[in-house]
Amino acid sequence: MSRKNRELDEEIRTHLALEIQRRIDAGETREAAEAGAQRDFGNLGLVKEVTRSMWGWSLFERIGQDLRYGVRALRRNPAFTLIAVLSLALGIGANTAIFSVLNVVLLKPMQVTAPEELYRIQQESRVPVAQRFSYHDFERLRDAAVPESVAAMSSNARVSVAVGSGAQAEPANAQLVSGEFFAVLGVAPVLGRALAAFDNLTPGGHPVAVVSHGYWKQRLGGEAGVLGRNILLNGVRFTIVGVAPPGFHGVFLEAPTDFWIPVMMQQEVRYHQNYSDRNNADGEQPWVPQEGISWLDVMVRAGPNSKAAMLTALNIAYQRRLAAMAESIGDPQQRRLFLEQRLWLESFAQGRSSLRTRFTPHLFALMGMVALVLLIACANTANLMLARASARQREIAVRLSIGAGRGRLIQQLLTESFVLVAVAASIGLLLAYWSANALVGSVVNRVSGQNPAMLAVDGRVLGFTLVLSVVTGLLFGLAPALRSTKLQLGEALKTSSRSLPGRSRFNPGKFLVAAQVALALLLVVGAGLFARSLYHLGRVELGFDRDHVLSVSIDPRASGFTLEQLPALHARIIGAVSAIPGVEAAAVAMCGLASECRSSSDGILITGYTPSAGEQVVFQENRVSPRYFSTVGMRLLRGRDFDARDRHGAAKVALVNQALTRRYFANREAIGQRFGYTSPDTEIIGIITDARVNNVREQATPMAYYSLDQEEVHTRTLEVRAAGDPARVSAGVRKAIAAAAPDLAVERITTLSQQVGNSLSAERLVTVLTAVFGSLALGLACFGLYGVMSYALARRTTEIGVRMALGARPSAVLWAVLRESLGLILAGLAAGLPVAMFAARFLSRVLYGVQPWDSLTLWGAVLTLASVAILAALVPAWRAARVDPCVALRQE
Amino acid sequence: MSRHERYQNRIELLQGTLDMLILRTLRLAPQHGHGIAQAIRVHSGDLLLVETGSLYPALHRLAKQGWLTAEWKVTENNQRAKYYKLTAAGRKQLASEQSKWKLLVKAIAGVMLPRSAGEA
Repeated sequence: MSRKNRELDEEIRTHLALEIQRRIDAGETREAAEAGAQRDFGNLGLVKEVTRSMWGWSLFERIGQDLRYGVRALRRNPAFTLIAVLSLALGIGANTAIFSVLNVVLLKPMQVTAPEELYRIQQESRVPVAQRFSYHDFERLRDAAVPESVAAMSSNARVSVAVGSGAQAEPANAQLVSGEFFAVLGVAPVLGRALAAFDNLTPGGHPVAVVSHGYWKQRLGGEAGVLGRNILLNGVRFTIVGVAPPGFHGVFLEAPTDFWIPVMMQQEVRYHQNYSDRNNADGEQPWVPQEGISWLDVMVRAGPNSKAAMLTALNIAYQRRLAAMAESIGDPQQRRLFLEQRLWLESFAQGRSSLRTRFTPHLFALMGMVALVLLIACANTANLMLARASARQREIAVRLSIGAGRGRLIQQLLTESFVLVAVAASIGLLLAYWSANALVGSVVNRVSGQNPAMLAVDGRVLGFTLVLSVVTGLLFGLAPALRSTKLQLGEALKTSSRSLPGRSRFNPGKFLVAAQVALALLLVVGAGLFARSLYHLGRVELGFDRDHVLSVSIDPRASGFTLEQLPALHARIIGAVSAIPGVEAAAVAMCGLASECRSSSDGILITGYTPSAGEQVVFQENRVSPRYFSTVGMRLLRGRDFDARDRHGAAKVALVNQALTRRYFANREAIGQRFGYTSPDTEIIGIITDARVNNVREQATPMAYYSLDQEEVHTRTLEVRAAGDPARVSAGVRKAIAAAAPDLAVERITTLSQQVGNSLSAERLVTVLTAVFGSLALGLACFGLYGVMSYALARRTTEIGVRMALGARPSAVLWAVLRESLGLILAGLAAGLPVAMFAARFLSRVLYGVQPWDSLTLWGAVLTLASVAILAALVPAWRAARVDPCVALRQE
Repeated sequence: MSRHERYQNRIELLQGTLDMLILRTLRLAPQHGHGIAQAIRVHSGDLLLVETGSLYPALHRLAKQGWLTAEWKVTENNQRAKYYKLTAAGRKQLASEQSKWKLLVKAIAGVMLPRSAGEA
C-alpha cells in the first residue's frame, strides 16, 4: 500500500514538473510557471485522496487494515486484552495439552508401511483362554495365510546389555520376534539386514540381533562398523546384523525397543514373561518346541479386501488345532465351549500401549473437562467483548451512520477476536507443549519406569489447535459483533454514555454469567467426584501392611540362576537382609504385591464341590517362602502357616484366602479340604485375610498360596519388613544383596506404599488436573460475575447516587445489587445441577467407591460455587453501598 | 482576470466522456497523465481542459478495471513518468464507447437539428 502511495506521489510530481516545463517552453518565467502549474493542479491532497479511493481495497489489504486496527484497539485496553488472552490461552493450552496426549496414546499410528493394515490376532471365548499362542500355533496360522503376512512376537523384555567383554552391563529393552516381523511391518533396515525367515530354523541357533537406530547412535557409536559386532544380551553373545530405521521404535508405545532378536533364542536369553502353560508343559525347558506354552502375540497384515478371507483361513487352521486339543476334555459342556473359540483381528496400527488400555476413559473425561474450561473462557471473553462493545456503541454508531457497511464492521470486530485468539493460541501451544510432555512423562515414568521420547506437537495437534482457535474466535466473537452492529442509530447517537437502556431488554452478559456458573458447577462436581474417588482409593483396606514393607524387584532367572541354585540364593539374601538393623523379617515370593506379576491356574478340582455346567474353577496363586505373611502383614485367620514340616516330598499343602473359602466352601470348613490340578492332592492348612494383591481397584479373587520349600520356582520379589520407615533401610538392603549375591541384578527397590501409590498415579494426576480445571472454571466464572456486576454498577452510579440522595440506606442498595447477583448464581446452579448429574454418569467408569450422583459431592460443589460466587458479588455490591451521592451526581 | 476568461471558454465534459477520451488518446501510443491532458487539450482546440482532479482518479479507475496498464518509463527529457497503455479489454471498451457516442450524437442531433430543414 505504501508503495502505491509513493508511486502516486511520484506520478503527481512528474505531472507538475512536465507542466512547469511546458509553461517555461511557452515563455513563462520559472516562478510564474511553478505558480501556474500548482494553481491549475488544484488541491493536491484532495486529488490524491480521490485517486486513492479509486484503488479500492483488496481483501488482503482490508484484513491488513483490520489487523492493525484490532491490534491498536487491543493495546488501548491492556487490562481487557490481558485477561481475555490469559483465560483463552489457558483454555486453548489445556485442550491442546490433553489432546496431544490423546493423540499419542489413541490416534498416532506407528511409523511403518500402511499401519492401518496391521492387526493382532485375538481369541474370543467364553472359557478363560491364554490370549497368546505357542510357537507351533503361530506356525499353523502363518502357514494358513499369504506368505510374509503373519509374524510372531514376544513382550518387551528388560535385558542387560554388555558391549564387548568386561564392559559394564546396562539395561535395555529386547523383543523376541519371528523372522517375518520386519517384513510384515514393512520396515526396512537402514544398515545391514532385517531378521528373516531363515532366522526361524533352530532353537538356540540364531544369535543375531537388529539394533534400534537410537541405541545404535547413542550407545554403539553410530557407525557402519557396528555390523558384525558382538554384544552380550543377558550374558549371551549376539552378532549385530542390522540397524532399524530412525522413526521405528518398536511396537510398544511407552517402551522403545532397543534390540530385536529371533524367537528361537528364548531359552538362551532366559525370556520368561507373559506366558501360560498347560498339560505338563515345562517352563524351564525351551519354549519354542512346546505346544503347552502360550507366549507369543501374532500380528498379521491384511488389506481391506483380503481381511475377511485372511480371518477365515486363520480360523479354519485354528479350529483344526482346537478339535485335536478338545479330545482330552471330558465334560461335553466344557468341550463345546472350548470349541466355540473364535479368532478375530484387532487393529494394531498404533502398536501396544499400557497407557491406552488403562487410561483411555480418563483421557476422555479430561478432554470433556478441558472443553468445558474453554467454553467458560469463551463465555468470559464474549462478556468482556460485549461490555467493550457497548462502551464503543457511539463509535460504532458513528461509523455506521457515515456509511460503513455492517458486514464490513462485523468483519473488523471479528478480526479483533481472531487477533486475540491467535495470541492466546500461541501462548496456549507453548503451554501445552511444555505441560503435555511433563504429564505423559510423569505417568509413563511411574507406569513403566522408562522415559518416553514420543510427545511432539505434530500436524494433527497443530490442526486441532487451529480449528479450536477458529471455533473459539467465532464462539466468543460472532455474537457480540452481530449484536453491537445492530443498532438503532438515532437512539445510540443520542443517548449519553451513562444512561442505561431499558431494564426489560435481554441482557446477554447476564445470561453468559449464569451459563458460566452452570458450566463451572459441572467441573467442580467432576473435580469433587475424582477427589472423593482418590480418597476412597487411598483408604482401601489392602489386606497387607503398606507402611512398613520394602519391595525389592529381583529376577534370578534373568540373572542366570538355575532352579537348583535358588534355595541357597534365597537363604543367602534373606539371611543377609534380616541381619540389617531395623529389619524385622524378609521373605521371597513368585509374585510381588501391586506389581504386574500375576499367576493363575484353571481347571482346578475341589473335593466336595461340583462346578455347574461350563463353570471354570480358576485360582490365582503365589508361591512364597516361610514367614511371607508376617513379613507383608497379611493376617492368618485360622489354621497354621507353612512350617518346617512342609518340605519337598511331604504332603502338598496350601493356604487360601477368604474369597476362596467364600466361593467354594460356603457352608463347610475349608481347612483340611483338598484341591488340585489333575487330582485333589493339596490340603488347605490355613486361611489368610483377603488382600488386593493385584491392584488397589481389584477385589480379592480366590487365591491359593503354596510354599517355595515344597516346590522351587523362580522368584521375582524380596519383601523386607522394617521396624520404622522402610525407605531408611533401602540403601542397606541394596548393599546387603550386592554382598550376598553379587550376580543377582536388583531392578528396583520401592516401599509398598510407593508401589501402591504408583499404581494410582493416573488417578492422582486426573484428580489434580480436574481440581486445577475446576478452580480455573470457578475463578473464571466468578471473574465473569464480578465483571458484569461491576460494569452494570458503573453505569448505574448516577441512579444509585440519586437513590441515596433521596434517602435509600446503604444496606438497601447493597441488598439490591447483591440480589441481582444471587439471581444469576441461582439460575446458573439450577441449570447446572441436572446437567452435572447427567454428565457425571459418564465418569462412572473412572470413579471408585463413589456414585456419580453422590449427594455429598453435589451439594459440596453447589455450596463451594455459591459461596465463592457470592464473595465475588459482594465486592461490587459493597462498592455500590459506598457510592457518595455528591460525587455520583456531579459526574454527569 | 485571464484565468476567469479561460474558465468561460471551457466546455464542461459530459458525464462519462472523459473515460472515452482517455482511451481514445491512448489508442496509438502509451502516454503519461500530463501528456494525455495535453493531447486532449490540443486535439479539442483548447476547448477541453481536463482537470487533474478528474484525470488521475479516472486513470486509476480505468487501470483497476483492467482497461489500462501502467509502466514507469523515461520521457524524452529524462523524466521518470508513469505511462499508461491500452489493453485488449481497453480497446474493446473504446470501441463500444465510441459506438455509443455516435449513437448519442445522432440522437441529440436528431433532436436539435430535425430533418425538416429550413427552420434555421
